[in-house]
Amino acid sequence: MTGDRTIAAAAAALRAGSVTSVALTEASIAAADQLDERLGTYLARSDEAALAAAARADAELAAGLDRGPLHGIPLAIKDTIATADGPTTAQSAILDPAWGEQGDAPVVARLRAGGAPILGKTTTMEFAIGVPDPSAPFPVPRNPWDVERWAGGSSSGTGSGLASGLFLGGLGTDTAGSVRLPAAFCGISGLKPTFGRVPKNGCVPLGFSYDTVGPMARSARDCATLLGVIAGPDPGDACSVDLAVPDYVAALSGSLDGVRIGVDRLAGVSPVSDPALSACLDAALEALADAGASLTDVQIPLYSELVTTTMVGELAEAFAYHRGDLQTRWEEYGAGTRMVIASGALLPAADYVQAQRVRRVGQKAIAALFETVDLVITPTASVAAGRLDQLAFGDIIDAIHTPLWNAVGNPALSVPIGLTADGLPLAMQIAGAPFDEAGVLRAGDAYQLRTDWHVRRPPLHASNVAGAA
Amino acid sequence: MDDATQIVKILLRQARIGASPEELDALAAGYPAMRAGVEALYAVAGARYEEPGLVFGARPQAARTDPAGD
Repeated sequence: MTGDRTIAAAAAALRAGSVTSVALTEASIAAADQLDERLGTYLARSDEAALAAAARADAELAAGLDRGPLHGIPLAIKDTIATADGPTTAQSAILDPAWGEQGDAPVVARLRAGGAPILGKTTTMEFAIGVPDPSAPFPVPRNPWDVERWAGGSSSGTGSGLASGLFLGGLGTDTAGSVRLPAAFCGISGLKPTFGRVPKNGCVPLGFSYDTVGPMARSARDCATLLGVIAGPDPGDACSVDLAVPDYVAALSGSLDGVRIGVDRLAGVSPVSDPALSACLDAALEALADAGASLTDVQIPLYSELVTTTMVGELAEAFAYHRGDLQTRWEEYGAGTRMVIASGALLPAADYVQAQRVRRVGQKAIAALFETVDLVITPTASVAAGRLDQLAFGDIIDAIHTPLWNAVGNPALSVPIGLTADGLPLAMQIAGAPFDEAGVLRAGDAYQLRTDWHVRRPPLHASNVAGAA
Repeated sequence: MDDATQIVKILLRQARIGASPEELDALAAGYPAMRAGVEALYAVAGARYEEPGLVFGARPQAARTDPAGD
């Protein structure tokens, strides 16, 4: 069953002949049949196409044609990312269906070229912003650790599906934390790459100068595998950067000897903090020290200002994209979505430009910090997943620590570090210098070689459900 | 009607956004805190002579080749 495996383990089993891609894909489909209605993981499934791709993968591998580490590995795609077998809705009634008919986004095309069967499109928040809207005609993404709680967002379905064993890996998008938050709240791993490392064309934009496409999986190692396939420039994305893509998996040495890690617990930044967070973070830091890292306390410069620049820039850019539809189709947007995006109308152009100036100042200040340390660790969020009936966008923004890294563009990985007293995942965020995804992933992998939080199973898991293979 | 409500009402009207009175009140309630955050950006000393991080290139849809540049 998929829930017992990582991508790395499944890839090894495929090549050893102990499992087939068809069997992996059938197990994913069976698990979705059993769990999707309760979890709200998928907006659309492509069972037949995925099985056909899996059969092709099996035949190719049997014939000695190996397309790489994702060959035969069933994956899922957030529904803000275009796929040829669509539909792509961004979980909204607003998005023009023709937009989603453009074919595969470059990141999806790369996954398919690598031989990965695509299982379907996963749930998000409407246009990747806000909180779930139960009144909308779309599934509400629920958390497999407690279905009364949010899976995190906005790459919600990819997070819940991975945690519950519905698939082995997937893609999310991250404008202010939308890969890292569902990773944190669902107890899996998720990477926001450096801005420009992965092409974002073919993705419904939220904040043009903040959006990233990122890998989500059980482990940092699997995120490294996914990143190695989707990274690299595309001529359709003017922000993508033409840099060689390193072998991220080869960089996973398991050792952090000589690695300097700065720690900012961000105490006092959030008005609330889970009582278990401090001890979980202490234990995680001890594991990193065991791996060879040297730890020192640091203070992230301009923290609150940089968070503000993300919110100002994201809202202004989103409002520019949505203004026409908000004028003419206000009632068709979700009530929460339209309110959040409409707040971009309250920002004069000079405020937007000033935010972009402060981002530059912040980049320099953060670069100076990375001259003294190689990585920076914070909690991903100060709290665990909230109850669906109590979610408020403003409260969430106050409790999360992800938007900072979208402001400056650096890569950041979320990995699970323990559970609350209520049995909900908590997580830390490992950030690195621009384009040092290898260093970030190396630290995440070294940590996960010494802990097992990333492979813990939630109560609602494919392995616990009769009928799921 | 307080200042925040008036400002929000005018800006939404200018943008031709048809929010309900309740929605206008909600946006107005959050406006002072939003404004305070934005005002703090103008107090960042290092930004005085900084250029904005705007993306623009003369070639349409060209991939960037210099990660240090814009």
